[in-house]
Amino acid sequence: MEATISREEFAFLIRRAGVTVPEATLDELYGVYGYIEASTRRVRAAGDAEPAHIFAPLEDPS
Amino acid sequence: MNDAIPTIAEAAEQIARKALSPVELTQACLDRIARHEETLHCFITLTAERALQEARAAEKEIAKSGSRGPLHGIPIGLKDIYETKGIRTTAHSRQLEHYVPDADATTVRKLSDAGAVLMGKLATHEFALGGPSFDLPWPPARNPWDPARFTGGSSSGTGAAIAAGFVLGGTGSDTGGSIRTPAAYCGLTGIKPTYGRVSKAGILPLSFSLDHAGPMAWTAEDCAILLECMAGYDPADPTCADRPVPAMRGELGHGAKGLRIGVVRHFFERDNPVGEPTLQAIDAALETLAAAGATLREITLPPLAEWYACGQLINLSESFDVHAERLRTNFAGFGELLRDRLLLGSTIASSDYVHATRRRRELATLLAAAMRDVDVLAFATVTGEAPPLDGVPKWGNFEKPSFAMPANLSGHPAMSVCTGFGPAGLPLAMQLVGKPFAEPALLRAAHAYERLTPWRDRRPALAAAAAVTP
Repeated sequence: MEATISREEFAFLIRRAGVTVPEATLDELYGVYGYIEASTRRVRAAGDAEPAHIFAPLEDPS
Repeated sequence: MNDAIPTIAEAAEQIARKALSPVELTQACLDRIARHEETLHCFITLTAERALQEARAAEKEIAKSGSRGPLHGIPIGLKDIYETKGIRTTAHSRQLEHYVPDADATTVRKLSDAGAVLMGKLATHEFALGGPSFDLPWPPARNPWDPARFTGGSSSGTGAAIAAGFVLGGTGSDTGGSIRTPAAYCGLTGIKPTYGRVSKAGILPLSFSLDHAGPMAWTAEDCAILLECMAGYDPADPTCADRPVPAMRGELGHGAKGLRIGVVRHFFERDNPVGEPTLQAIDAALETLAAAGATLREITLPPLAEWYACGQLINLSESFDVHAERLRTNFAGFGELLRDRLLLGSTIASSDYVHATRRRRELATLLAAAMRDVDVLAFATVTGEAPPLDGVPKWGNFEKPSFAMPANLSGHPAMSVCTGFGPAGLPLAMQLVGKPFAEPALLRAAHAYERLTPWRDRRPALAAAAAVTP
């Protein structure tokens, strides 16, 4: 499954994580990144549901 | 004792009336380990001496004051992400090769208090995600039905060790099928309990919101015995539910009559079509349950790919968070497969993680609504028999949506049960999903099916297993 972003853009995403990755690994990961994009497209299509995580303050912090 | 491998329930009954010695039972397991471990690679750390000591102590105590309960004197194994005081806990990773915890996980302490005999720490996919891997300090576990085949994962060692009779039961963890898949491929029964039912304190995390701890064993009854021991509120785990633990065997005698089963047929016929033997076995299983008085109705849910997309983004995001520091400081300390999956997690945007958690709530609500008029759902666990161990595609899980993910996302309890054997002689399976905190009803369905079919009478022919090169 082909990615919609360029390899350079993908390499930026990995570098941003602070990890140094061999070029061959980057090539391989770029080759499957399209699957991640496909998943993000699916969840972005979801409606405006209420926030899934709601912070509830503790009444008794002890 | 003879070489037959008893279930936990059978052994417990015999031990309680002093017809079976825990020492002899433990020694029989150790003898099987001595004969076949070199082929199957189930253990990271075998604690043989400790096991015999615990078995002797159990025998002495039972003779003096009776059995503590159905796990007293029973040999078990722990997936090597369960922390054990004084025994290394490696997660099957070079990163933790020499890590020796100074405390037991809550579940380990409970099993120990129940008198279970610890045989050792069992192989897993690295940190319960990356596998099968051949670049780690220990080889991957192999399937006792055919050592050239995959066990499934990530609770691979637990699956193989139970099928081989090295232990009578064990622990697993399930973030996206890691109890149910090895249960399916190794021909066992495994239950992922409701999210929050079992404490995860002291269990190495993978994905905080999807991780579940649970038991694996030969039968549903044995899973019920183990789960009842492992379950219960634990303030040390903030995700643990403060709810009473029911008698997990309480509904086992109710049979299939009156059981309402919803069949999610599109999951395994259209969304991720299973092979013909698996399809026939599921249909036969459902017919068997219907003939015994269960009612069947078809249920429609969002396509499996929706569940998988959501679970994949949450799992990869959370597992990258767990391991980010190690990736930055000790990149080479991971096996290739786990490392590469974690790296993909680093590319997921925070907004997509939030979208996924929103979608998760929608999907969980739909699943709960679909179960309003049924007791359990039924669909596939895996598509077919276990594939060759050396032929598991590195990114195969990206190409086909997993049958496991719906219950990880929703937190519903789910089991895998053996539904017979395929053309290669390997186990086939079906998945059953129950309502939240209704594990007794789910175990009832699985137990009823097991009692109606002969599959629990067949074990791997280990003696015929040829040695293979790791």
